Amino acid sequence: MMTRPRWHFILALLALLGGLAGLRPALAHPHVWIDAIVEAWFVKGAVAEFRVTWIFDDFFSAMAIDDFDANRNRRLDDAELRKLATMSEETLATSGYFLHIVIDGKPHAVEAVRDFTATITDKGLLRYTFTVALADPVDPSRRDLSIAVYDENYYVDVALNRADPVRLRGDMPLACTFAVAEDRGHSFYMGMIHPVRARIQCVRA
Amino acid sequence: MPRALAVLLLALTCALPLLWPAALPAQTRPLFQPPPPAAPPVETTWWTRAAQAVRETQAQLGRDLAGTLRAVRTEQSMLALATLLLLSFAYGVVHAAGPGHGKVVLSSYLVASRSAVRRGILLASAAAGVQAISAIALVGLLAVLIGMTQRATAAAVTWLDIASYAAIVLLGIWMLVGALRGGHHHHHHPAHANDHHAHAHHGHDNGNVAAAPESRGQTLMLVLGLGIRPCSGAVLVLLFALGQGVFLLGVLSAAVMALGTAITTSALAVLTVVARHTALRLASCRSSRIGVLAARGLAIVGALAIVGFGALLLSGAWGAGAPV
Repeated sequence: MMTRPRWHFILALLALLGGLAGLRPALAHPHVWIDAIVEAWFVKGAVAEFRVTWIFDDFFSAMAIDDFDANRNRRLDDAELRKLATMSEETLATSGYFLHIVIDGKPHAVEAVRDFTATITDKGLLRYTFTVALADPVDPSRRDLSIAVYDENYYVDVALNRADPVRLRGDMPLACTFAVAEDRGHSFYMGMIHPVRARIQCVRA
Repeated sequence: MPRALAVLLLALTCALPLLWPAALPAQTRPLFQPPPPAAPPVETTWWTRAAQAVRETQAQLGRDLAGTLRAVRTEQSMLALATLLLLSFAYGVVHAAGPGHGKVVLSSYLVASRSAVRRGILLASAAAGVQAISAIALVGLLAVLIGMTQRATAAAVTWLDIASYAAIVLLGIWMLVGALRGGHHHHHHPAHANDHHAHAHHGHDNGNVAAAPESRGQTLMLVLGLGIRPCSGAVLVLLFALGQGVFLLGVLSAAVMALGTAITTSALAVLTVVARHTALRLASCRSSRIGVLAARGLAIVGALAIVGFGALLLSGAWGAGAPV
């Protein structure tokens, strides 16, 4: 029997460690897909709240309808929808509702939302709506305000709608717009997915 | 043949199972706005673009699949059925192209073992087949026969995950023990290495480095380890079909999906076997002794990777849960 050179073991260990480090976040595939639309509501020229709409994919919608249909009439009645909303809100609070708001470069944690409702769309898809208030409204002409929607664990593939990501509403300066860009500073899923971040911009005359 | 090249190829072969995750440079690129004229040209790597494409295609295919299942039920047309089968097949191909547990384990196994191309394809296909059967059995038993809710059925996948990963860890330990002891096929190596030295310039053969039979127990363990855990897409489609009252269409879709998965994973298996074979041949060209050591090294690295990866998966499966 020949002696084994040491570099085999070093190579083996390096490969193993490198592989484990790289693969750690790869444990989940997305099982739920959500399309998100964010409405930024202005009060006196400053963004006071975000009203968020989520529309779930067919599979998850069907599963939720099946799961919460207590009276087995194959649709969700108001009471059943309220129960679904209450349970979901509790779970989602632990992950910050997948919202990633950044104000002047600092993340703004979302701890609570209001008006959380669950409804079913005309196409039979599950829809959540909820509102996030900014305690200190942000004037985008003076401060930097951006929002992204993503689950960095990638169990849920939630992202801003491609065609209609952000709507600007309320009492705002005329020259307000938003720009959508890949946020490469917050890549996840082994660096393969760059969340889409919308930056709200206003110019004062 | 330069020794450096042989070492490089060996290292690449070891790294093959780990190629899926890739760290990427950070950049910012506007999506819906043209970049300002002064900005440097946007550079995205092929890897980013490919990953993005796989992800978006999969989400879109999921939507189309659900829509088509509804259409088959309401229209009852052959066209809708053909579309369903085509979409299921495409979903299988694309779903398997994403980063996945099974592929890492399969390619680690193929790096460590002396498998021929044909065997690699068979293993990949068998695993895909067992996956489909597992998904159909799970949904058929829990949701159809026992009448569990869809969500409870989907949650039960965790138990199959755990069974799969436990089998993978056992397989890895088994292979590691074999590799460290030198293995009962070890004495075949010098002959084969010399053989390859003599035929080195005859170009490519099918990677059949050693004709020694692989352990049947290990093969079975590998296929079960890869296959007991069902494909999440198949479970989703089966549950959705059940909810629509067309469970058998879901079964059909899951079966065709497995066919698509088998094609993608077989391609990876072929790539791994060919890479391993080429690396070993280059190493053997230098001297038969290097060839033997290289084969041994690959066996140990592959087995270690399987043990470590299986343990990691197992630990991850315990805490799994749905956050929505």
